[in-house]
Amino acid sequence: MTAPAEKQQARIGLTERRRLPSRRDEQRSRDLAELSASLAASIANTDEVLERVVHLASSFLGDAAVVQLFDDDTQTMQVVAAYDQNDRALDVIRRALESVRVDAADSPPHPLVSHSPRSLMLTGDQLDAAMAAMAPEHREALHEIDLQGVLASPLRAHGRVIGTLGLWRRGGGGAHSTRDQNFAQELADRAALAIESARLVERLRAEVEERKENEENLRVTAELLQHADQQRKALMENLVSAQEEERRRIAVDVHDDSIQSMAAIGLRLQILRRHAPSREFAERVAEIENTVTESIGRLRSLLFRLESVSLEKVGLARTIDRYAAELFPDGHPRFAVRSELQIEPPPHVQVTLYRIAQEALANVQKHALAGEVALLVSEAEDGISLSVRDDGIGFDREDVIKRALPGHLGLRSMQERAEIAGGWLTVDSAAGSGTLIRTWVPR
Amino acid sequence: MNGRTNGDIRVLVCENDPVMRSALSDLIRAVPGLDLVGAAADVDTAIQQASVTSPDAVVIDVRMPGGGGSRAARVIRRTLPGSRLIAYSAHADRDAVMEMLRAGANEYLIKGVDDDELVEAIGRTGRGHIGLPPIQLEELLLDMADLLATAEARLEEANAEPVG
Repeated sequence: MTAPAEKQQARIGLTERRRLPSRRDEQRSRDLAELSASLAASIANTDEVLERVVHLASSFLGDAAVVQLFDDDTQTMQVVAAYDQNDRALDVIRRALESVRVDAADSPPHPLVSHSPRSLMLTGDQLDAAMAAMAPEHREALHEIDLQGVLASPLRAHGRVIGTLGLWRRGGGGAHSTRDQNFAQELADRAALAIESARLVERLRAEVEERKENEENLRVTAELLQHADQQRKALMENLVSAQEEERRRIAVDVHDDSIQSMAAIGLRLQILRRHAPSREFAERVAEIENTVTESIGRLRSLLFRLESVSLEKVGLARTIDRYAAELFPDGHPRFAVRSELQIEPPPHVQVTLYRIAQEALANVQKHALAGEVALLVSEAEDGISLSVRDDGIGFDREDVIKRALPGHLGLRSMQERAEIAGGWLTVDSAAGSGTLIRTWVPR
Repeated sequence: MNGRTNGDIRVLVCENDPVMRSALSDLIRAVPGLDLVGAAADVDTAIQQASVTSPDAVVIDVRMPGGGGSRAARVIRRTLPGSRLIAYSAHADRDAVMEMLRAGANEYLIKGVDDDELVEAIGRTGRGHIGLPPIQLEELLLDMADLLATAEARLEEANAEPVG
């Protein structure tokens, strides 16, 4: 009685078993479709893709699923996702894996850290060999959770192995089958592509973010620069007007005190001359009067140099022309001031260029022995340029500066004025070939 | 007339700088034919002394406390239309010269430059002579030309307006 029943059962069992594979195949096709759909839904997030892979793989095969990915050096691996219904078992596996300190460059490579494009089924002796790289307590723990085998499927994407999908089987279900192996590889291949895409998207996104950040930084930097430029301009205007104010104050003092006192001396000498007891005495007094008058004249030309009041009244070129006329009263050297300005520059620019022109002309007067000097004021690149050219003896600039020859302070102060105003100044000269000073300051 | 006791030219000095004031006063006292009637250190004193002493000539510093030499000149010119007003200044800028001329000054002399001319200017008689600092002439003429042009334009405007 029992035998036919057993036979029957066995037959049914056989039938079942024969039918099972096809059912299982159907199931696995559905599983793969589910995986693909699930992964497609989380295309842009690597962590999510990894979580879905281990969850689905674990549920499809009933194993603990672990994804390890190669680091950027492509030699070492990290566990990046793991799942099992049994938390304790998963913990044991995770710890055991993390204790494997080997890399793919070792020879022979550890089976769990491999670039091999083929999947690997570790059971029995092979499993024991793989576990040899682990600390004894981990081997012990793996035995305790009744580890039967490990199926390691390479994650292959674009011809590279980027990691492995490990399926760790516990309990009495026996080791993995070839069918499991094929199925797992199909899972792994889909997973690998999804992981690669997600990582690519993340990289692109990070790049875009970085670029955005760079652009933002650039914008902020540009703003800061603009702000700094405005501050520089304001400071420069303050500086220029403070300098002019100081000069004006000195000029007033010279007028009200020095010239006045000298003039009073002149008047008293006049009285003395008018009451001179002798012609000779009167002549002597007249000589002193001449000296006083000459001194007053010098003070006046100092004032003329200090003041720049006529800038606002008659403009830059005319003021420079007057200064030259005052400086070269006998018409030697000949001078010509030409202006191509359409409108007058702002006051601080006028002052800066006027002071530079004064210095340049004073240098011509003192050192150049020139026959001719030509000045040109013109508009250039949102600023004003001034050139002063003479046909004098010229000089070697380095020499003048190095040996602190007369004039080197003037050169430096001209340059400083231009630079403070945000512009530049160049001096072209060589001994025997005249001098050309060119300067430009922004409006 | 003018309270004149002899043929001397009676001179009032208006100068706030004490050194200059005393030198000017001494010079005028020292020159035969000139008679110093007062020396004021500010505008109000100058105006007051002028109305009391009725000087023939007034030497006026341009920069003085109390409204400047121009105020003194304007008031004195009104009360003493026949007096000679001599602006005497360390400053020779165009604005100062124009201001003094408009206020009624006959001469504009620059301290330390035209000192020799001062006595001559005080003693000058006769109308119509206006002494100007030479370095200002060009600008003054330009200013005058401007003023003239403005005045002419206004006149034309007024003529162009329909009458009645």
